[in-house]
Amino acid sequence: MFAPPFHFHWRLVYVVLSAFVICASTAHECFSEELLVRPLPGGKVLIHFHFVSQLGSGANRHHKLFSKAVDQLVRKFSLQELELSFTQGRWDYTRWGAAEGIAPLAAKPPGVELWSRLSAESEAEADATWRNLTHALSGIFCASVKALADPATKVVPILSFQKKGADWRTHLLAAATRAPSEGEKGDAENECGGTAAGRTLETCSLGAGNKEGIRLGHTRYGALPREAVCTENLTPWLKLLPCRDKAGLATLLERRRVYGGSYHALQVHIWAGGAPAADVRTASASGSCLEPATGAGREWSGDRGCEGASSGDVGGRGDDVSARARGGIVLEQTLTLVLDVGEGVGIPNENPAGGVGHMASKQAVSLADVFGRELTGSCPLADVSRIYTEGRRVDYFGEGFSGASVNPQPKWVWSAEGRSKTLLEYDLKRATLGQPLNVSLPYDGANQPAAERAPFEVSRFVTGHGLERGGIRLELTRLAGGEGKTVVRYFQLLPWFIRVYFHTLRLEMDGRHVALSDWTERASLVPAKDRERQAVMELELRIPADVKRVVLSMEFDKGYLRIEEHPPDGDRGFDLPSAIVTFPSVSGGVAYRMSDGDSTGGDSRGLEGRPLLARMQADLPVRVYTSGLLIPLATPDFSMPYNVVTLTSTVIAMIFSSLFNTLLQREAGKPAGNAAPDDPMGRDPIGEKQRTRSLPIATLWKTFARLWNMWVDLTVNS
Amino acid sequence: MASKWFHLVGFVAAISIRLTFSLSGASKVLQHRVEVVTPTNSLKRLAEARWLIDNGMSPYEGWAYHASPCYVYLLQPVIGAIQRQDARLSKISGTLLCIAADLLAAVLLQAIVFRACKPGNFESASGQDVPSCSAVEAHGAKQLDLTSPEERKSAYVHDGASGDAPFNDLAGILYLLNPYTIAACIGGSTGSIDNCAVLLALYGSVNGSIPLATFGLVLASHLTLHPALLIVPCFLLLHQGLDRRKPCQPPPASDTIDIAPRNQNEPPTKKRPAMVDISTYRESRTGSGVILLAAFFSIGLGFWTVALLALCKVLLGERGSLLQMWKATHGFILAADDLTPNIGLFWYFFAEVFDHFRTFFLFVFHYLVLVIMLPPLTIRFHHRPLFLAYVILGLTSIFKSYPSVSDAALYLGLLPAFARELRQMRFVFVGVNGLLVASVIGPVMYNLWIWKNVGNANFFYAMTLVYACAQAVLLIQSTAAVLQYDKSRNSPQDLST
Repeated sequence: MFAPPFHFHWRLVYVVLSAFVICASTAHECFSEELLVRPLPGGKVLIHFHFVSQLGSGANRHHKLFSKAVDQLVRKFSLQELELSFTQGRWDYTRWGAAEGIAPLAAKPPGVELWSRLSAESEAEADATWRNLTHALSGIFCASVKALADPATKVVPILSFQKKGADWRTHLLAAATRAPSEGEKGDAENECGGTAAGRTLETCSLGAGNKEGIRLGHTRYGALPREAVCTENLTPWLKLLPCRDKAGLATLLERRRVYGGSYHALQVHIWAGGAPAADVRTASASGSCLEPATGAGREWSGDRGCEGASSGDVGGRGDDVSARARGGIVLEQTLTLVLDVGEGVGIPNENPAGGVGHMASKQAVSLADVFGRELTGSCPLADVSRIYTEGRRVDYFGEGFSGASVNPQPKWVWSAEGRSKTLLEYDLKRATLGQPLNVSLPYDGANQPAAERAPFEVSRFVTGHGLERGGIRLELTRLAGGEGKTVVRYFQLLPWFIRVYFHTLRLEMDGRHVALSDWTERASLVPAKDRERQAVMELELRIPADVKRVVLSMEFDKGYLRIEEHPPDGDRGFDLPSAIVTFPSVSGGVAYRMSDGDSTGGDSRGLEGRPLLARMQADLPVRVYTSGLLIPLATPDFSMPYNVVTLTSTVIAMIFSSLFNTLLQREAGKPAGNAAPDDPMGRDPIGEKQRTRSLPIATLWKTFARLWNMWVDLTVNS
Repeated sequence: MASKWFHLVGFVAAISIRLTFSLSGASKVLQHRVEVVTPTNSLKRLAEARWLIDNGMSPYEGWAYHASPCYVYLLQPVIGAIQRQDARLSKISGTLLCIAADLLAAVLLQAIVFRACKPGNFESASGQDVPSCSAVEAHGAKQLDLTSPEERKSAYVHDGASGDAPFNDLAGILYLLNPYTIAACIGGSTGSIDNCAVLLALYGSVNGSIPLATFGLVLASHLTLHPALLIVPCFLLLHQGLDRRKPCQPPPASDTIDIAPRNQNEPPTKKRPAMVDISTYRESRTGSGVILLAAFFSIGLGFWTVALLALCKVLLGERGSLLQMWKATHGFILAADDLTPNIGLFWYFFAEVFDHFRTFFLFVFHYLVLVIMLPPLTIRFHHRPLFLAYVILGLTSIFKSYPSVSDAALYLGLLPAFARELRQMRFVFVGVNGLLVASVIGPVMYNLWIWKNVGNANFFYAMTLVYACAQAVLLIQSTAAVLQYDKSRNSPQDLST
């Protein structure tokens, strides 16, 4: 195997390269479908569908495979990168892990999360683009993403999602992009006010120059924690696939099973234009694989590449590739499901292959079991169609696992570096036609390996009761295995009606109050503005090695909304988006090495043509999304706007009319003008009110005129 | 008459009540009460503004702060304690600040009321003495020789003996012991300081000091906007001195015009002084005097405005512009965007009203006070500028977008100045009981709605209506009583028939 002088970010290169390599086989478009099955403790299994479509740069507007909608989206809104996820259920970090392999890809906050980087000349233009983009996405995915167009829900992240400075890129969300090297990071800090350690707030200028704005892009983030995710989102998502769900892996997606599980995350990730190209260029400089595989046909021929790169013509080819990548689009679609298989929970025994519904403690679980459907073949349009099953090595190769009935046979075995995990690879393109395709994995319900977790357990909750005020508390508890000095990044959005007082931010370490600024590396706290913008908190905390428990707390007042601003069920309360806790110092990537397998067929032994593995190898940041919060607000009585308007108006009218009446009363009681000087009625001071004689308008007018004259007389003429 | 000792005891009592409540934890309860703390006077928001400034942002950057930037700097020690959340210290420092403000307000109020009730108080600003009211009255009564002893007696009772204004030297203590003032002080808000500024304006006007009056006016308007309406009464105060009781016309030197026909039971002739005869008041200022006064007044206003804005700009520095400040302070008050429940009429109305009528009603609410009410009141009470100020303050308290009880405390504190006139006030029972009901049941309803979650917004809304109505009853009835008083004093002859 090759061992070139890898750059720090070499893994990422595979994401892009593999796409290009695939792409080469069908001129400018290519498509790969992959599936990862991983057993989880508690009678659950994780199934991760991973589809990558690639559009080469030179492609015209007539596509064979690539979704036209996405192409138009990218062209129209000058997208650089976009990530959209629809999630239902909560990722169980305790049991399903956070720090390795698939977890950083699969874990998403409940509801909708949209993040994108746009090329725009100014912030205002970026805002306009963002507004249109959210509407377009709403249309494409049948979701209320357009609610994010409201300026009050839009967020311009400063630290977390912003690509800062020369090539500084955050690795909080931009999972596929490389992590910044140390030098670049330092630059970014300087640019962003490197003296921030002592301050809790930084004022980084967001808007770079026009050209910078175009090159680096403007970042926008939005989350809708309350969005219900359903088949109406899945169907348009499937439409972006060349085979839809008519053939290939997507045929497994039986709706009842998909939505009957514990967790479900539908994601779309788009890279376009320059961003991947930069990586390719970096790669070319470091001399890694460049040569696109040009093998004919669908059969993967991976024995190329590295040799070609070492042949010397590095620079020229590198430029060539980057030029082609510049206009290209990569569309990654993933669907992560966590389904119940154990103890017969929710899995009736109805699969035609005669599998078992009840899983014994050590049993094989097949895809047919899980989905109640059989896989009929790969998508004919796909260049790559693979299935990976994960588990402990001993499960596969120990006794008791009968993988013999599996079609196709596992082709490769990958083992994770430094971990006991083993990955079996099946190539659907090599499946024996005419036989039912089925893949099973050993499932040992009671004896699953412990998931690799983040260094800290993260929980966030609301304190206080009542509808007037409250507090938010974030607790980080160090887990076994998470020792050492840790850097934690905290990102939190708060809608404007949660009026958080930043001066009440308190940091506690092991029960002791400490000054926040002493432990904050960088921070950006943007206060909310009523109906204009959300509050954004971004903190980078340095946690010493001996601290076991960190608590961050703050107080807020609950706002009071107008009647139209409440959702239809206003008394339910308002959902707050999940906060994101990132551990930048922990790498979530898993390096897979091919350890064993059927080496016939000349398949590649590297990661080319395996976008999913490349993705998992990329230096993924370890993120933990906290659960959302539900905050009830005081509501007006929704049934009586008319009553309130009339009641208040009546009171005001009464106040003014009686005051006015009082002011005029005396003039009325007085003999009008000089007439009737002997009017006895006008003399009684108390009985004046009893005067029933109505005030003739003429008298009123006269009175007014006289008063006015007097006033003029007094002030002006005198 | 209260002695000095009495005053001392009163002040000490007022301070000790505040300290006792504050230390016993009442401030913990009151500092979040919507009756006391509003978005424009909250100390907690002030601390947030301080935090924003400490972190290099404009205090108006966020949702929180809507008061003057001066507070952020002047109240630095207090805010520091609040920011540190040093419970005891912040409680004490906040209370001490409010106590100081309350004491200052009480002293100013005492001075105003004392002067307003002083016999011969209406010597004009020009220094031309007008005979004291009591003398006039006594003279008039003697001259009139009322037909029956009872009537004469009633006239005296009605009038009250000169100088016998029972509360004139108790006004400060009454203000300090007003439960509303105490609540506002213990809860900790800048309301006490806002009140001080208003009283400073009135004090300056009463004393004929243009610089002081304009300074108070500008400061108070800058702090809470609504005192800008006091420009009219302040000008009138400067122009013609304190409230005249209209009936106190200088006795005719030697005439018996009124008496002679009366004795014959003839109707009064046209010669008797007109009821609102302007000529009576005009003598205080000549035409050039008014113009000169107006010029000085506007120069004072302009000077202080410029000075204050310059101070704000210096304080804000590069962080924020004055326009941003204006939008966040006065704009915020006018737009009534924060619908957090309070004891005013705005919040629920604008939470419920349909979106497309919002601007219209906002306009109407402000228009009512500014255009519909202010000119007629001015015309009617131009001879009683202090009373005009009282009515304006009362209206402000009802029609403010973010009122608190300290607003009510302010205009109620001015009531002793009109003790003589208000003797004949009616519906006092209704008004006072309305205030009592609203003050007691209001918090209960709020508690049911917000904390117990068993009621709904209408519970508290009803109480705000009661509160507004009660205040309106007091205000309107006092207006009626003063008009009545003036009328009865103006035409004492009428009593005889």
